[in-house]
Amino acid sequence: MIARLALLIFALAAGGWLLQLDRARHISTDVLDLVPGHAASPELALVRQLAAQAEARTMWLHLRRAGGEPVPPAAVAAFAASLRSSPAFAAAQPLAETGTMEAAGQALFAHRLELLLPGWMARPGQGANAAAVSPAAVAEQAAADLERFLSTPEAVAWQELIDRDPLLLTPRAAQTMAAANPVESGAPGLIWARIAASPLTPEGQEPVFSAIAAAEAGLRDQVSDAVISYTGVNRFAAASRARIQREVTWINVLSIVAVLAVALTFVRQPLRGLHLVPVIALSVLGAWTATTLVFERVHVIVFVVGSLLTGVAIDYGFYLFMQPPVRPGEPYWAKARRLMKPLLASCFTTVAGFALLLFSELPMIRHLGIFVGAGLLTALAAALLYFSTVADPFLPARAWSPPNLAAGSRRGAAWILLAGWLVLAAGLARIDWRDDIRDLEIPAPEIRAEDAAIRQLAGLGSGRVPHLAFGRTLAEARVRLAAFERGAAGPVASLAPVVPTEEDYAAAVRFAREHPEFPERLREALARQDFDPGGFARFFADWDRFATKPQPYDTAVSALLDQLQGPAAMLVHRGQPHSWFVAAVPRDAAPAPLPEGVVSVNQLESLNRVFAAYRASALKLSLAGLGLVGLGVFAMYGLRDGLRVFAIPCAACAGVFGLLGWVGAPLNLFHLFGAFLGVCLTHNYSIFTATSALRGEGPPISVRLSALTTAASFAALTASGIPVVRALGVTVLGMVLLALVMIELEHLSPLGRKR
Amino acid sequence: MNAARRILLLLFTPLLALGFTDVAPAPTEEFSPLDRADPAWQQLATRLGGLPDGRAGFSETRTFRFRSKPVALAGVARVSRQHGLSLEYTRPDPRIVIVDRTGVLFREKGTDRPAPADPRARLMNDAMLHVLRFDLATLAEDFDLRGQQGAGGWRMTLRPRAPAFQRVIAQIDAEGDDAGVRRLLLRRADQQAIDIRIEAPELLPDGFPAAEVGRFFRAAP
Repeated sequence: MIARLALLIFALAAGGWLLQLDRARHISTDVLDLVPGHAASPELALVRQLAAQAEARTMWLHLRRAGGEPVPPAAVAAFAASLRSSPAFAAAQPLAETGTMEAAGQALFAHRLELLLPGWMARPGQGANAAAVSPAAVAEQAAADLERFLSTPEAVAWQELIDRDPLLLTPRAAQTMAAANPVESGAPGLIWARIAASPLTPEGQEPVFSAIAAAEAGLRDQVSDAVISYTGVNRFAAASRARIQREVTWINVLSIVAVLAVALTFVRQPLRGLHLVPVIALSVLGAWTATTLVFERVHVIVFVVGSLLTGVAIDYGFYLFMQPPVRPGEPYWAKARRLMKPLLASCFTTVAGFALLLFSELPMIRHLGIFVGAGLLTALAAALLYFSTVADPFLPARAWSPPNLAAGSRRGAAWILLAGWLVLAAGLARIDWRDDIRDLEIPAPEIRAEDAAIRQLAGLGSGRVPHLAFGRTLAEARVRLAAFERGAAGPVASLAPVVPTEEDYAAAVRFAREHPEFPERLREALARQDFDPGGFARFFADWDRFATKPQPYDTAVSALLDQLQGPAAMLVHRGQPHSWFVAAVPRDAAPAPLPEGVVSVNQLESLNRVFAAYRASALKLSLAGLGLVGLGVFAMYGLRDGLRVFAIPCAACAGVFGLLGWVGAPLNLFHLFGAFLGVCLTHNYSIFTATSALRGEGPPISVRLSALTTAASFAALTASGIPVVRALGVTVLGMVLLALVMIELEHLSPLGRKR
Repeated sequence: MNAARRILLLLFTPLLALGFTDVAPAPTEEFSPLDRADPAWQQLATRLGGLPDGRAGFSETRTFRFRSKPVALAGVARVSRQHGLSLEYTRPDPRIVIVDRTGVLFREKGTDRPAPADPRARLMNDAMLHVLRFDLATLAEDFDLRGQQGAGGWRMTLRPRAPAFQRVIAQIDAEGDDAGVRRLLLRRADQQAIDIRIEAPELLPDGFPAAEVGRFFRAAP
């Protein structure tokens, strides 16, 4: 009665907790949530901030006609306007549209002396400090440059501004920016957009897709054969979420069905086998509850992998339920006390092994440690309590036993197995580790192909690596950007040509103030080059204003940055605790090491480095866990017998990894984790079998069933679309089957013969 | 990120309109509207439009209101039906300007760079190309065409229809004879003009040699 009440209270409490859980907040599908963002890696925190904000909310759309011809610009503009009218979009503009940049262009021109003169002064040959070059020389050079410029093709385009900009500040800045980005304009029909909500939330997905569909309908009214393709983080996230939801459901169902199918095959009274279901259900409930209680946010992959728990959790139920009573009418709790030692030894050593995962820096591994550990403890407790409520807590197996091999045949098979294992183990030398964070993602080939095509059109895949130069203030970030530029081995594309450092700005102001004769020197130089100095009256008026009352640095910079819109606005961020500039350089052209305050935002490389580093960490934890298991075995069985018992999990691990080495499958963190899990599982079987062997009995039927149900459970994972989940399934499946073969060949029987 | 930088380049193209004011072309002789159905114009268009590829020397004079002395340039122009227009400037500094279906490309010291992505500048460059090919149908889409023919040849004026383009080019005056275009005068405003005079062309019925195509036109994609 007490047991039944305890189980009911637990089920209600845990179920109630999970039902009220805000899944969107507590369960993540974002791969970045698998990466720690602690203080030791502020650059990764910045990367996460950028990824979570502007960059992640960017979408690219491409409009074209069915035959590939461009859609008329007016229709493209109307499409973008339709997107802007939707609350799901914060901005949308055709890439070729210049109108949105007019305000920024005007602000730049209005403040050209504050913003562009510093860079002009700092050019090689000019001297950042004007004392190095005389105003007369500067004026002569400027006039000569202007005369040369007028014979260039660009002069025709800029000639209307030259009378106000004889120093060619704006044409030079445009040329500098073009030199750092020698890619022609993107294809017509490209639209850049920014969505209002996070792309990883439902608000950033369905409403956005609906707005696009509505705009598409409007476009088709004008261009009946229009084709729209688009890409964005939200599209991948929506596809991942849908796939993961399907996969969690069917993998868990498949796993449960497979496990029960195996169990019922070997069980005499199938319906009574349903008593194992509450144990499984309660263990999963305990795992989910403990994990969501301890951690604020858990990646959904933890729950996908949790499907393996059904194979592990059933072990204790099997053992308790299928062990025959020593005498008819043996009380349940007497039987439980009799079996407690191997149950506790198995459970606690396994949980202790998983507890080591709590020391991992990788959030997902910590979550899994709690998930599986809590699940196993709940499974043991649930099995003990539940079967105390069952009238007849004994499930007889079907009368079946393996073929009774002659001793010679059995030895021969063992030698063959050993020889085979030695061949497999040689494959350990061929192991190839590959740490690629993309192995965590759900494949979405069609969306990826569309994404690649659009990125190609937009010039997003040109082999340049973006970096962030950040600081507590924008001025500090700009100084760090300058350091990055000085050390780069290739052209750096950034806002540097239009936003000076504060030091260069001060030098320009100082030059203007300390050399009031400069305007007259420039007039004279222009006259010598056949220019009419009177034609530049507006420039000289602007110069006088700059020399007497220049706009403060922050005011001039803000005047420009406030007007930046669209993707240009993403090249700079002003805020707390950091401001930053984005700078892109060709691959391998970035200075090494990076200057202080500059980080690469090549997410893939950053995350893969983290992935590799944590594989090393997980390997240490795995070896430590294995050592812990081994110590427990040696303590229980002594050295000689302990070696025989411990050989089963070790040989299973080496054999599977050797096989993977032979087939050339690249290994990653999740193979390692699967091995850890496999060791714990095969350790269970080894302990239970050893307990029987010490009594001179053969392998218990429950071990056979446990191994087969576990194999069935992990076989379901090998069908997953997620590469790392498949890796987990293959590794554990292989280890369990190998261990079962060793046990069936009576590897542990010598333990009983000595006694 | 690359697209952001490309967008930032567009920061500069609106500047190109900053200095523009509503301009009226300098008074010129007013011609009658050009009737493309007129047999005389059709015959001329067929003849000039059917000319093979060719090259011709040219001189260009750029007049600026803030400069007392015009800037003089010279070079060789190459017109190809397939590859577009190539202006090889030899004086004062060597450089090549290529105008084709893809856009405008500047080639200098072996390095190619695209022209700023400004549709107004593109209109002017395209107009030159279509005038040299005497493609009246295409020109009529964006320009009001007027002209006359006489014993000495033909003359034509092109005025942009769209106000935004009128701020770039007030008027284009073209002159020529049965052998081709001899003069292009691009008027932007009083005291600002580009005057291009073209010598008699050397026609190439077999097209340009491959080496010349590679050197003076855009490389094939």
